Amino acid sequence: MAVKTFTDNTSLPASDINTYLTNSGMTYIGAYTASATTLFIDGCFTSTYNNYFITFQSTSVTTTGSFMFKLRASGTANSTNYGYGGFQYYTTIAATAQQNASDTSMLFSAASGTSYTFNTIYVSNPAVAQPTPIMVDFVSWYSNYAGGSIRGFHNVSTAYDGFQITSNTGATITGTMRVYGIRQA
Amino acid sequence: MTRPIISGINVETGETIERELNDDEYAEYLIQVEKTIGLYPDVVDEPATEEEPVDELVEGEQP
Repeated sequence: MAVKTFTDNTSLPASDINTYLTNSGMTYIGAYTASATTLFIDGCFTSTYNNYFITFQSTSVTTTGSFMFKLRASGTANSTNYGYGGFQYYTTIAATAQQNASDTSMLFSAASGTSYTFNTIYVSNPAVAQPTPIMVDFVSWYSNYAGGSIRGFHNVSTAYDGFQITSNTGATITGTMRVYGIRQA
Repeated sequence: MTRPIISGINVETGETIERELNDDEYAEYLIQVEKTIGLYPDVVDEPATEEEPVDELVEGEQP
């Protein structure tokens, strides 16, 4: 529902503009750019928002592999009970299924060398001590790989305040993560 | 031998952290890497191009 409905030939006071800025669809929380084997943002999940939107762009990895998304609480990653299913897409062959009932992370994308990847991640109620729904969509400019999408849960009833991204081959990743809170009004 | 680096930020405090993996993180790192070794082809240094695709993945291969 709109905060306010504007009509023609009326003024647009600063207060209305500020209201819209305050209540925009997503609120930027923070970002981080680095080259490391583990990239993380802590303190981003709070009781302020139920749902969060994360973008992750990588520009290089030192070893070919996939990315691993894990939730963090007080600076420590949880590495158990990520259950997911989805598909990987290719430009020249049929899609393949990807699933795991209880993995050490949400495994997603494929990256190699200086191949660029773009990934979006939705996380619902991570700061609440209940299983956390996670949806990941990704595109990777690598060989005939096109990208994919996976959905699932972190099936642990713990409250989290952050997340991290690593490579399943232990690669050093160069990339940028941005996190936004989704407005609830 | 130096350990891999973990790097990040706490957006509540604004503090950035960059350090070597601690003992627990390094043990988990070693297990993960050992589990994954051999799954992937050699590193491709350049992105694929329309003219010259590289090392195409084949059906059934986990990317």
